[in-house]
Amino acid sequence: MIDGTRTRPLLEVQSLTKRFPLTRGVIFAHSRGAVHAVEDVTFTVARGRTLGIVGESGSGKSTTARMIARLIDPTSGTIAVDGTDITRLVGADLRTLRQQVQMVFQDAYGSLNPRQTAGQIVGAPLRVHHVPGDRRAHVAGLLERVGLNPEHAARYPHEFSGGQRQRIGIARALALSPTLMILDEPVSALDVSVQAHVLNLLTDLQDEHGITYVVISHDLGVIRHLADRVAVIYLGRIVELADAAAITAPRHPYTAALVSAAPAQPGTGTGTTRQRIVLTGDAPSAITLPTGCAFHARCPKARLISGDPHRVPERCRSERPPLGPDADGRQLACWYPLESGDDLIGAAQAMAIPVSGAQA
Amino acid sequence: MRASAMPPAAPMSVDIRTLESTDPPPDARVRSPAGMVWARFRVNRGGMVALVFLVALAALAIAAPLVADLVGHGPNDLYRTTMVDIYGLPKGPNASFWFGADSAGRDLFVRVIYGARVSLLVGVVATAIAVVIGVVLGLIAGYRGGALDTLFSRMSDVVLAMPLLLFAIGISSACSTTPQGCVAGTLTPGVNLVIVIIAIFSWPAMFRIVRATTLSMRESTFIEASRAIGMRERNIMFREVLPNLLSPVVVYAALLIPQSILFEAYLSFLGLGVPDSTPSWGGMLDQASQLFTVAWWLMVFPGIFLLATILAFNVVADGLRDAFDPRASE
Ligand SMILES: Nc1ncnc2c1ncn2[C@@H]1O[C@H](COP(=O)(O)OP(=O)(O)OP(=O)(O)O)[C@@H](O)[C@H]1O
Ligand code: SF4
Ligand SMILES: [Mg+2]
Repeated sequence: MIDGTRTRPLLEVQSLTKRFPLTRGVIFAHSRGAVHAVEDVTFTVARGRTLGIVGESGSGKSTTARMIARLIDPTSGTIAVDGTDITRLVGADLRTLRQQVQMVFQDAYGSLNPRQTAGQIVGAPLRVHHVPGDRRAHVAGLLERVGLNPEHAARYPHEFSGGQRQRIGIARALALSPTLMILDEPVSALDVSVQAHVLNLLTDLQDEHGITYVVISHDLGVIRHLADRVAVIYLGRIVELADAAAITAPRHPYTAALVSAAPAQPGTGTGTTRQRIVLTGDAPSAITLPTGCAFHARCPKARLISGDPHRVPERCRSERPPLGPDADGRQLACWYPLESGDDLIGAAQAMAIPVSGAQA
Repeated sequence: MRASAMPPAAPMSVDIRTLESTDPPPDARVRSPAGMVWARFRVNRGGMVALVFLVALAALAIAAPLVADLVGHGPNDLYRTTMVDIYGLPKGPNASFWFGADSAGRDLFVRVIYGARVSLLVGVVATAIAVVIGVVLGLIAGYRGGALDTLFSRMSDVVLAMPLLLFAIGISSACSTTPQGCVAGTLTPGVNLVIVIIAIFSWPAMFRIVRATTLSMRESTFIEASRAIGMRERNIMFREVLPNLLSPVVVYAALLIPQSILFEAYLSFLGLGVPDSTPSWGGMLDQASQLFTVAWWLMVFPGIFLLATILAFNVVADGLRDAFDPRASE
């Protein structure tokens, strides 16, 4: 690990930003602002490790995934795989990258062509990249590896269950032996009982092949099951980045809300019921981002600081906290990180929203 | 290191082979999408009756010379002495002339069967040409977008905005003045000309449907997945998108065929379609229009065949649409 190239992270994402312009007008299209889907996201993932990205719906998780998989182009920033910036690759170089970086999609069923058999779908990467050898046997091996009956290669996607469809997607992603796999909500569409099996499959595959994972979920339980490090993303920005073990003791108020909402036993849904920090209102619009800290309208900690459930400190409202390391080395973007003894549940309750066991 | 601070989650090592029992096994019957469409279509009684009628009609049309042999009358054989009276009026149905005769003394039954040839040929071939043009241009326009999309879309707009019958009459009469036809002799009067005219006017409808379907499919996840594995755009277009266009294309083609048949009938009715020596339902109806007060059979028999054929194609198209619609099965 002394050798510099060996310690270089497999994936280095630097200041990644994606804005979707909003265009109006049929004949003379002109830009009217933009959706700030991803803003200045920076992280690295070591070879063979797993980074989890967690955040609410619309926080920019899939957009980040699609940029890393080169399905959409970033507005700015760089993505380096194995030390090479991939954001401007085209043609043959891009096709080579496709073998290295594969993606498993949020919508498993939608990611499978309804008019192709499981065998055709899983064999497609082999065909596209002219992988030599007996393709049929190769596909059978892949299907078997992900826990599907190879004899079902002739079946169509609609004939499989949800879990089996996601396995087909995993087999397809596995076909080219990628070094990096982006898993976008790999289990969120599945029954809780099936989730654990698919998560275990992913763990086993990583142990076998040393694949580097970026796993995306809105469910902290799933993230904790797979990830070594966790990035918490809110309105397109990372607000906390810490080791998976440390994330259970969060320091960002938003992470604390996510943690309190997650069941204690990941992937099973049978956690001990605890009181939760219930956030008020929806996430603000990604079109007109709030000033200061993007979380300030919903932040219980800011109320603790101001001592008034209806006021937040001036700093939270006017100045955006930068992402920086705290004393323990975790990355954090908050002016007033949580200290032990902070009663966030009390503060959230004081924000006039009843604490319930049903809603996060 | 992974999740070390966690309470143990679900059992960490699961024997992969036991997973089949966790996920419900899929339906035991293995069926291709096409097989499912057929299975759903089969139970549609109206659709099956219409399909059987069309198959029988096609068989008759193909075997028309055989039918003529059996009856003993060719389509252009004149029976002026037996089937035309002294006033020049045709005689009605009898034992050997089942549908009666036309004013020239020709066997109407044999001519109606021959007419099915023209109608089906024109309907199927003109539709096939329209489908090829519409699908190729629609696929490119919908998938690629940009300048080609604008060009093809404007082309289809222009065709759709043309006063259809007027232009058809213009083209067909311009190309029918001499036996050499027009466009340097490539379009000679007759069935070919009719087919080309009809195809020119029917591809835009197919184009629009294919373009719209492609446009929405372009954003679907499985197209993104194809891109993620490095498939080339041209292969995505023809291997991933095209097969998924089957349902709208088949259903719409089944609707275009009767339209084309009707179009041919119009043209022939106006005397601009196939020449009189080639029996066609439209041409027969044209003749009937002057005589049907005294010779009802001239109008009734070709009319019934035309109507039944158009209806049958529409019923089949309806049945196909239901059979393709996945909501109908769930
Ligand atoms: N192609 C696009 N055009 C315009 N806006 C987009 C596009 N794709 C995503 N967005 C917007 O970007 C923001 C982030 O979307 P994204 O899909 O990355 O969220 P997400 O975190 O994956 O959410 P979810 O959990 O619902 O999948 C959203 O506000 C979304 O509406
Ligand atoms: S900066 Fe202020 S508003 Fe933002 S999370 Fe920290 S305490 Fe809350
Ligand atoms: Mg998403």
